[in-house]
Amino acid sequence: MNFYPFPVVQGLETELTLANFSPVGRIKHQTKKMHVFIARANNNLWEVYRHTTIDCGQTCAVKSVDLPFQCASGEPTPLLFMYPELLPNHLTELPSGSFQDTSPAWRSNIKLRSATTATSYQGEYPCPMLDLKRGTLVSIYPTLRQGPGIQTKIIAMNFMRSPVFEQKTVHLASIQSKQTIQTAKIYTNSCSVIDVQESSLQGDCYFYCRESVAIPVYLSHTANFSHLAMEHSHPPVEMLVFGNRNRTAADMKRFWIEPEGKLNAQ
Amino acid sequence: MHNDWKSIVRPIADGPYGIFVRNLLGLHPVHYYGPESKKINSQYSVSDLFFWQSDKIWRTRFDLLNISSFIFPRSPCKERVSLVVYNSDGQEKKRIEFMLEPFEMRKITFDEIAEGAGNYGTFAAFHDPEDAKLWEALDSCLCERGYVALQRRNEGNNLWSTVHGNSYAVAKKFQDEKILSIRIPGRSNHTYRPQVSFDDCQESELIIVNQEDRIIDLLVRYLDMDGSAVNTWRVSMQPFASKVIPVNNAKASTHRVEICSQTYMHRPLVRKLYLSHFDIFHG
Repeated sequence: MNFYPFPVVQGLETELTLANFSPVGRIKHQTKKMHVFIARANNNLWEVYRHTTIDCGQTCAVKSVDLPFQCASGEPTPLLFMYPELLPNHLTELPSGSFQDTSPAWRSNIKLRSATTATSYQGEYPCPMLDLKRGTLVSIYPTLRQGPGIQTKIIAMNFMRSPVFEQKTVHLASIQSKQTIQTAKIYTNSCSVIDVQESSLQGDCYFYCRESVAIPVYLSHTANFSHLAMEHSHPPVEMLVFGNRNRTAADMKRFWIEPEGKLNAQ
Repeated sequence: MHNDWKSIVRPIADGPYGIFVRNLLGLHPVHYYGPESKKINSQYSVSDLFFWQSDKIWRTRFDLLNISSFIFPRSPCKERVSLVVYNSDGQEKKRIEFMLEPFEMRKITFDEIAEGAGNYGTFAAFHDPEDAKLWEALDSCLCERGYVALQRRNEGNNLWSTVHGNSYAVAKKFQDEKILSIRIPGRSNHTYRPQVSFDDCQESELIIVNQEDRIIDLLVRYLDMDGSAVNTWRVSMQPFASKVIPVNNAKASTHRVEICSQTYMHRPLVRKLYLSHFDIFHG
């Protein structure tokens, strides 16, 4: 079972397309009628709203106007999911289930839209990530630096099974020196939007968090949103394939989140 | 007892004959030749087969980085990267080398690189670390799944729309020249269904790459809201070839698509052409 973050970016409409069919295999063997739920963490509970029902083989688009609540900056953002049964309006934990366990992952189209264009990616918040109480984030995204006239935001997506709302600190740091260039706050159970300062993009940099896991999504756009581009970065483990790559990636991550200045001392 | 049984069965099941039988019976099929197949080992560099397009409308950029130095930052070394460019028929047209300093990121634009290779095609990037010994102790391979950026020439700004690599397609041994596909050929037809709808855009494209070193016959089914086929597109693709297939949706008849071939998970790039800009992502 997967969850689908619903990022909220000022000036843009959000639209998630959920699919009630598997990406591979036979459709009818893997799906049945699903309820679509919109959830958000509030006062140490998950508020859960049933939005609609999707038949087997169908899709459903959930837009900003469909949300049953207002989303203010600095508050938990919505999380969407499909579930075969009705759920109560309040939960102490997000549900789990194995009904969307496919390879490749069961994804949704996560889209941000302006009046004249849109940008999207196929994504999900994997269920196992909800249970990671500890963890770190290192994101090396070479396309972070765009060019003059282009603004960049990092959307840090973090969700947990319990409805806690906590603050974490993230850093943009120079690859060459490991010196921090920009620091920002993100929140658990949210898609936190960080405006990357233009001065931060003078050299190549990477993004990290020592306190939490998160999925970093990079959004670049013109000032009037006539041009949008969004993509997530691979986790460092994807620089390797086969074998016990997690151990190597963990060692690598430890280096990149060590206190600054160590690189020059090597 | 359970672990003893696993330690006997596992090496057999993961060996070349075991993989053959698993794939034949559909029991936990394996889709890539990894080190257990004995075809490659940690002295190989693996790459996705990326799409490039360089013509009157489109330009392409690839952002290289010295991957070894990020993985072994305590022993950073230089890296030689071979960029191998194929045309849309899958014929190798160019092989260009770049030497990257430790931690270097370099933006490569295809305007010159792709000269003489047609309007679009595929490419792979193989990394040769200067210190290959670092990899000897590992059972993993260095892997390029980087970021391809596309831009429309007439849009008049600096924005590049990026799409990441998502597959393991080809491999090359360090210091060697021979390239091999690491996709294990499927023996039955597979259907891949991008979990995306095409309702919001009148003009979209599917970009499909053949990552196998055999000819692949491919069928694209365009489906309406009820899941009925409103159109089909058949194409035969040479090894490492690519195709840009239109999804003309002026009458809003195509809700989604399915791709059928003998390749497991024949995942396309989706390019949607909106009024002022475009979107590109893995379907």
